[in-house]
Order: sequence, then C-alpha cells, then structure tokens
Amino acid sequence: MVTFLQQVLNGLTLGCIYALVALGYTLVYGILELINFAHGDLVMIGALVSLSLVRILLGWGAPLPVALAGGLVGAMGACVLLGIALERLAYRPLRHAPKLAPLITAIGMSMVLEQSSALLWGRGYRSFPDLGLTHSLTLGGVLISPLQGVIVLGSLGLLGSLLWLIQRSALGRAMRATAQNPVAAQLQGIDTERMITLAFVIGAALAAVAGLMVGAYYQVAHYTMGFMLGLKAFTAAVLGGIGNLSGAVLGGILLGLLEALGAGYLGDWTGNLFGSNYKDVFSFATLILVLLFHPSGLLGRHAPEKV
Amino acid sequence: MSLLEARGISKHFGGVQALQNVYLTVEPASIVGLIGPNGAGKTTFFNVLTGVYVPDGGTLTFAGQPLPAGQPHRVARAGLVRTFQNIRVFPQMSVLENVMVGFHGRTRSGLLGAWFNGPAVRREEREIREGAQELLKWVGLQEMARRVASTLSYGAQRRLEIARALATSPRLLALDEPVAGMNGAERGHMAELILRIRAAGIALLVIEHDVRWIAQLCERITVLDHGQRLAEGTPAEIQDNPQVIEAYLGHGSHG
Amino acid sequence: MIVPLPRFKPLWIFLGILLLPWVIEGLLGRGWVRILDFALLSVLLAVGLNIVVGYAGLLDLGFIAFFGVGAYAYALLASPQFGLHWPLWAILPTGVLVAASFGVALGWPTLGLRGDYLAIVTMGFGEIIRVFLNNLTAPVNITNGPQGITMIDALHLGTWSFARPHRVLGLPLPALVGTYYLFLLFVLLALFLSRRLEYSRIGRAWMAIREDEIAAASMGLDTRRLKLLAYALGAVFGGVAGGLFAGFQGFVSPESFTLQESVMILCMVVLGGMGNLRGVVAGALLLAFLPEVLRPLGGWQQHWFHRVLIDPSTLRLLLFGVTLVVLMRWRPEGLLPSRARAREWHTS
Ligand SMILES: Nc1ncnc2c1ncn2[C@@H]1O[C@H](COP(=O)(O)OP(=O)(O)OP(=O)(O)O)[C@@H](O)[C@H]1O
Ligand SMILES: [Mg+2]
Repeated sequence: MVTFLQQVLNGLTLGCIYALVALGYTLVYGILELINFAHGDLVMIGALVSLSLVRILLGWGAPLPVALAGGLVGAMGACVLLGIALERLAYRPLRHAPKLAPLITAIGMSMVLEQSSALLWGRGYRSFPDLGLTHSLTLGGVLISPLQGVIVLGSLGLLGSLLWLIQRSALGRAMRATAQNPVAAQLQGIDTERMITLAFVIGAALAAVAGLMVGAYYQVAHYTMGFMLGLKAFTAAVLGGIGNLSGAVLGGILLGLLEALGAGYLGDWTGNLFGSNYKDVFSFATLILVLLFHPSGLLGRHAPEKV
Repeated sequence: MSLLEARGISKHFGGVQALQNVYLTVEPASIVGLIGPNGAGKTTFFNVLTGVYVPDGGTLTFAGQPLPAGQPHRVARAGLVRTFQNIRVFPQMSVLENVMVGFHGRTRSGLLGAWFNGPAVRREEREIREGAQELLKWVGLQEMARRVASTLSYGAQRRLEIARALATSPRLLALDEPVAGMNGAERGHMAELILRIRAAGIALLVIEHDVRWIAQLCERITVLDHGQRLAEGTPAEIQDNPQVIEAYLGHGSHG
Repeated sequence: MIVPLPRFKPLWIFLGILLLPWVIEGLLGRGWVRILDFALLSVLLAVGLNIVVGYAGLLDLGFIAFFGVGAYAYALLASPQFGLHWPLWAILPTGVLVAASFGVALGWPTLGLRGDYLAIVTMGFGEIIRVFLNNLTAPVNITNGPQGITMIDALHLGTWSFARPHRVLGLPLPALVGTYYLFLLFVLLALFLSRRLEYSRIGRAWMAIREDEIAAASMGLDTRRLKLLAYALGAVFGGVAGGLFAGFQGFVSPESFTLQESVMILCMVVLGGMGNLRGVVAGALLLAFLPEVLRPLGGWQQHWFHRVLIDPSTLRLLLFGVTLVVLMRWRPEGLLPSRARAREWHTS
C-alpha cells in the first residue's frame, strides 16, 4: 500500500508536468491541426534558461524565492519569444502548404533549437542548483518532498485557472471559436492570426514552467531532454483527445500515473518477465488500446466526420 | 419487389435528432426525389443509406438483401452508390483516373498482377480505361480526361462524380443536390443526363431543393422536415400538399 | 497523365550509375563509397515509406521499426547469437514475412484512426519495438540488449562474399563496390515494383484513399484491406533494407532504430516530393549525403579561422535543421513533386 501511494505520488508529479506540456500541444493543434514538433524543445530551453538564471541569482546572494521567480520569468520570456519566432518563421509561411510541410519545418526547428542549446550550454548534463526543496518528509511511510508539493499544487492551480479563463473570458471564447471554425470566427471579426499567436504564447509560457519544474525535479537539464518529454506530452494530449484542453490535463496526469505504476508493478504483474524498463511499452500500449475503443481519445469529440 | 426499402430509420447526433423513423422505397429503374428544407436530414439519410453513418434504428433492404450498416464499400459493391453534396472528387488525380477508381470493385488484379503486368492484367487495364473514357463521353467530359480533377469547374466536377459512380455499375444511384449552384441551362443538361441514366435501367434517388425541377423528373417524391417524413406521393400530390407548402414557406426556401 | 510502363532512361544514365562508385573512389576515396552504400539503403527505406505516406497517405512515424525488425531477423539467423548461419536466399523471404506481419500488426489497430492519431500510434509502435530490442534478454537472451548483436555473417551468395574484394574478368572489384552493385540491384527492383504499383489498380486505389477516404470507400474500395496492404508492403521494403544493413555493417544495436531515424526517412520522402519516385530518391540521397558533406566543418573552421569556433558535429546538425526549414519554405511541395501536387500548391 505504501509503495502504491508512493508510485501514485511520483506519477502525479510527473503527470502534472506532462499536462503542462500537453496543453501546449493541444492548444496549437486545436487551431492549426499542426503537431508542433519543436514544443518539447521549448521545455528544454525553459529548463536550461531557468537553471542558468537561478544559478546566477543565487550566486549574487539572492534569496531562493527571488532566484526562482527570476528564473521562471526569464525562462518564460525566452520561451515566449522563441514560440512566437517559431510560429512566424516556420509555420505561418506554410499555412496553406501541403499538410506535411510544416511537420518537416517543425522537425528542422527542433534540431535548430537543440543544437543552439548545445552551443550555449554544452553537450554535457547540467546540474540544477540545489534548491533545498528535495529533502523528503515522510507521511505515513510515503516520501514526499516540498518540491513535489510545489509542482503538483502549482501546476494544478495554473492549469485550473487557465482552463477557467479559456472557458469564461472573452479572449478565451475567441480562441475557442477560432479553434472550432476559423473562417466563421474571422467573419465574426475575430483576429484569428492573433489567436494563433496567443496559442503559441500560452503554450510556450507553460513549457517554460514545465521546464523549470522538470529541471528542478530531476536536478539535471540537457539539450536533448525535450525530445522524449515532448513525445510523452504529445502522447498525453492524444490520450486525452487532442484539441481538447481538459483532455490534455487528464491525459497528462493519467500518463504520469501509468508510467509510475508501470515502473513499479510491471515486474510483479508479469512474474518478472517484463520489468520497469518496459514502462514506456506499457504507456504506449495503453494509448493504443484506448484509441482502439475510443478513436478520438478519452475526452475527444466522438462525432462522425460531417459528410 | 422494391429495389430499396428503408424502414423506420433514425439517427441522432448528440441532441440533434437528424432522422426519425423515416420510411422510403425506390422501385427498380425509377426516379425518386428527396426534398426538404435546410437541415431536414436529407444528406444524413444518404449517409446512413451508404454506410457512412450507422443508424440508431431501422432496417435497410436493397434488392432483397439487408444493407451492411457502416460499411460503405460493401454498400457500393451491392449496387448502391452516391455523389456528395460538397463535391468529393479525388482532387489531385486526373479526371480519367477518377473514373477508373470507380471500376475497382469490379476488377481483380492485385499486387502480383501489377508487378508482372501480364496479358490479363493489361487487358483489364485497357478495358477499364476504355470504359472510363466511354463514361466520360456519356457525361460530356471526354475533352477533360487528362485534366487534374480539382481544376474542373463545379458543374464539371459534379458530372465527374456521376461518371465515377456509374463506373461501379450501380443499380441505384443516389445524387445529393446535383444541380446546386447551376444555372437554368445546366439544370436542363443535368435533368437530361439523369433521364438517360434511368433509361439505362438504373434507379435514381435525387436530393434537391427546387421542387419544380425535381417534379418534372421523378415518379415519386418524399419530403423530409426536421428529420421526419412529412409527405410522400407523386409530384402533383406533393406540390399541392399544404403541409409541404407550409414547411417550405416557414423555413424559407431555395427554389 | 497515365504512363503505363516505366520509361527506360537513356543508356548514359545507366552507365553513369554503374561507374559512379569508381569515380567516387577515385575522386573522394573509399570512405565515400561506403557512404554511398549506406545512401542506397536510405533510398530503399524512403521508397518503402513512400508507399505508406506518399501513395496511401498514411502518416507513419515509426517506420524505422521495420528496418530494425529486418536487421534483427538477419542478425539472429546469421550470427553466433543462436549459432544459425542461414544463407541470404533463405533469410530474405523469412525477413519479408516477419516484416510484413509486423506491418499488419501495426496497421491493424490503427485502421480506424485519422491523420495525427496515426502519427502518434506509429511513433509509439516504433518506440515499443525499440524497447523490446533493448530489453529482450531474459528469460532467453534474444537481442543481447543495448550491446546488440555482433559478428553477423557478411552478405554472401553461395561462396561469393560481399565483404571481400574479388577479381572479375581480371579487374579488381573492391568489396564496397561489389556491395554497391548488390544494393543498387535492390534499389532498382524496389523502384521498378513501386513504379508498376503506382500505375496499377492498387496504386490508383491507394491514391484515392489518400485524396478522400470516404469517397474512396463509397466507390467500393475496401479501405481497410488496402491500407493494411500498404503497411505490409512498406514494411517489407524496410525489412529488406534492414537485412542488408545488418549483413553490411556486421553488427546491429537498438540505437540505429530510434525515432530520429524514422523522422529522417519521413523527411527524405516529404522533402523530395511525396508520391513521386524521382523526388523520393533525390530526397533520400540529399539527406543521406548532407551530413557527410558537412562533416569536415571542423577542418574548414581551422583553415579559415585558425581554430575551431563551433563544435563541428553541433554545427552540422544545426545546418541540417536550417536546411530542412529553408527547403520547405522554398518548396513546400518537395523538390520534385508529382505534377498534380505542384499545381495544387502553386495555384492556391
Ligand atoms: N456529422 C454530424 N455531426 C453532427 N451533426 C450533424 C452531422 N451531420 C448532420 N448533422 C446535423 O443533422 C441535421 C441534418 O443535417 P443534413 O445535412 O442531413 O441536412 P440536409 O437536409 O442535407 O440539409 P441541406 O439542405 O442544408 O443539405 C443538421 O442539424 C446537421 O447539423
Ligand atoms: Mg444536405
């Protein structure tokens, strides 16, 4: 039972990070039907920028909260600028091109971002400054670190308020209208180009938050870390039903839990035939199963295509 | 025996009841009109009929056999093909290739055939090509055979869809608003084409808003409104039916 | 335009292709002939993926898995791992069957999925295969984990080994050039088979599905079967390429079969011009050679600036990424698109 709770907690932490990243995929996908392949790399940039800034600020003797806030703001700024640049340079010129063309530019941009980071931060692993938040407390046998608490509560709060804003605010309504039917939205006077930029901006800002969290959680950052993370987050978005915002959150948390439980229990379930190194197989197999029975994801609209 | 019998067909999307307990029959080699205001459920009925959507309830019988629900290709092979309201030609293929695709279900050659390209396969290809050209001539597109389909005018694309559907050698051809957006002369041509198709022994089910145009063509008309069958009868009966007039005036009409 | 049969190219192109490895060896050295050999395998892969993506319009991001399956099939049947040393003519059909079954296994659950859902599932499938390759060591050691399988038998037909130099008609035939001819044979066969398919009943059906799946099904096309066929066939091409790769390289390990590789092959297909064989070949050659051409970046920097300013391998990938972006902006329909595709883009 204790191990179970422990895995759930670890999975929840990871899942919250996935959810933050997945939301970025889903926002862009919802409007442009484009897999922003470079989104995972924004998380990596967020991690590396915040890592450097926190280190510098701590070096100047700034107190931890100030350093963290500085790192976060800096990372957000960097990621948002890059997100906008990405959209302008790689995607907007190809708005009406054959469908796979933007996928290729996205892959190209992803390489550019990774290699530029390798230039700036080197090819080695960079260790995150010790925040002193990782000393775990024991709660009924379950190890929980303050950092985990911050990650879970912080991201859930952020996601919750964002979803609420998109549901309620005029801007959010305009965004949803653009996602549902860009032409109709434009006819109603919505500046759809602005909505697209906004989707990239929100996604990038969330990626920066996720980058800081994931860096602090694993205490390392590396120029290739965005790739696998992005892949997982995209999986999460699809699991929840891509284009559906709550779906992305649900998918992210679910995927985190699946992975943690898979890592913890696969060995037991299969008589040690498949150990924790098969946890990714477990997640992907679950995804395939879900899609088999629910081809548009858990919360995706299941309406048949209009013919 | 009727060629097509639809009994009690229902279909809903979320809260929208697009079809409710709809009955419709088509006799062999006859022309039946399906009319109704916007959103009445006409296209949905076609989609259910051709297996694109699975109905919530009701039965479909075609030539005495139940129609496979939700399996468009088997419906087509059973002899029921349709065209689409928002034209769906294969845009990047040539006009001729579009029609050749229609022959797919009636031909056999597979992978090995394609690779060895033996005499039988070549003969089959030649026959398909000639058959396709023949059909293009039939619908008046013989000059366009090599054009890329998306470069045709809307009217020509509609005729291409008909030629492609005829290539499957159907017993019932279902046309979804074949003259939408056409002028008087073009409507006349389309009516003439439809009559020629019927003369070849093929039954037609035609959706159209313009009651007068459809009335001159068909033996019977079914009227849908809000997913329900409002009336059924000969064109004269339908045109005098007060309910039908009310439905059309009430919603505002196209025709 | 309907072209019923593959057109024969002028004789001199054939001569050029035949003489190419000699010219390259003379001008650039033996290392480049090896690169050329690998490039031919890329072409084989790209031609296979083109069936899935270009013809049938199914976005596949896990294609490298079939390459891996083929490579491991060869490795297991011709290495000390299980003490098996099958001849090539026996391995190839086995590999073809295995790859095709994997293709169907991938295709089956994904048939109902559209577009980008397909992308993620194929991606997941590729990762699943890679994890298995990495971990299938217990209870029976099948794949030998991350170290991979070594001492794989060289490609050989009877007593003729492609790993050794030979003399033919008194002329020396270096091993790498012999391998070039072997691979060339496979590439030409693949091109021929693809070409024939493109203008066949099946090829037409695939394109119809690519253009409009609902319309295709409504015209009587069994889209499920046709899509499975595309997957299986693409997988076979990939599997054969994998087998040749294993025999050529002498060892295989999971790191050759990552998602990045799948993405690279997809880039070859899209960049060259989906659906058009000439474009696909051009894309494959371009992307196979580009990293090699960029390899001496360190030396150039040394020469011009007297020191290495930017890590050459970083710079190489950076330029690679920039190239992808620039090429796609310049020609979104690919370098040599099929004619219809080019028209679509330039008129819209
Ligand atoms: N795939 C779908 N998902 C959700 N609702 C649908 C779908 N297809 C049809 N509907 C709804 O079903 C109702 C009937 O639509 P349908 O297209 O059948 O009407 P129609 O009679 O063909 O109208 P029109 O004359 O405008 O073509 C409409 O309210 C429509 O919005
Ligand atoms: Mg309609």
